[in-house]
Amino acid sequence: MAEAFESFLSEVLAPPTRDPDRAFVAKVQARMALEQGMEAQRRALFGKFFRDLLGIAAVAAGLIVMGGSPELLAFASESPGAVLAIVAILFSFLLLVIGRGGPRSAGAGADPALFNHLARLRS
Amino acid sequence: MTADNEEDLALSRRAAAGDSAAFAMLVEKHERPLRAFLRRMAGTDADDVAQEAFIKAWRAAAQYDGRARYSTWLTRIAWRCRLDQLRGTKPVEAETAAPVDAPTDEVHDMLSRLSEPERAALVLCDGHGWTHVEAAELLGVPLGTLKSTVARAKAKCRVMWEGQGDG
Repeated sequence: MAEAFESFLSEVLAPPTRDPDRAFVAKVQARMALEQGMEAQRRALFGKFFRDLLGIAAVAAGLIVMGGSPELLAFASESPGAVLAIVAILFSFLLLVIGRGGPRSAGAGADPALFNHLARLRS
Repeated sequence: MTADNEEDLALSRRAAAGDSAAFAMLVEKHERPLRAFLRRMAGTDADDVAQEAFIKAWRAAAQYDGRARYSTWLTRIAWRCRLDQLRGTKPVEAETAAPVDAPTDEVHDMLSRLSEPERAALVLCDGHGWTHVEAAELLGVPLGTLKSTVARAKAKCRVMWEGQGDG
């Protein structure tokens, strides 16, 4: 009885004997390709973020340095409207530069097909 | 190191160096037992867990050093994926564990009444030929605990099996 049970158990719990499942292998390969694509996209986004950050820091540093200049302070007190206009132009330029590198052009790896493929794999 | 381990180590190193064909060979070689084990544990979610495990194994390919069998190393990754899955979702009903093939409905019933570690220990040691030491390492329990877990699981199954025979 004990032997019969032991052999029953090991027989039914053993992995099935069959050929490799190539469809499953292909699915894993597709996931790998997808992961690689997403990793490239992540890297591109981080790169862009740091470049933008650097740009903003440079502009801010420039403004601080310029703000310390006595000639500029004198000019600002004489014609505050002109200074306001210059600041507004600079700010618009900054927005334009950052906006140009927005999600649509962020990249290299931004591929909607990639996300559709991911959705199909997960379904 | 066995010849099989050496072959797997070589493939894993090639995979770590970016050779995806080498990793595909590892998947082809190890998917059958891994998925059979996971079907016993996760039922219909088995293939998702298996895919996740293979992707993690691919990312960590450089860490495989050939000391353990590749299947042991891979199953350890899959087991962690399974535990993550259990933590991330509400406890999976035992009934979701699907039978692997046709005449195993009674086995499915038996296994569904075991706890997760009991089921894992029994499937690996009695079905997949793992040593108690390997299974203890996988489950993170002392060897003695593992042995008593297997014995308890087997005793429970035997009672159910005999009950079915009587009925």
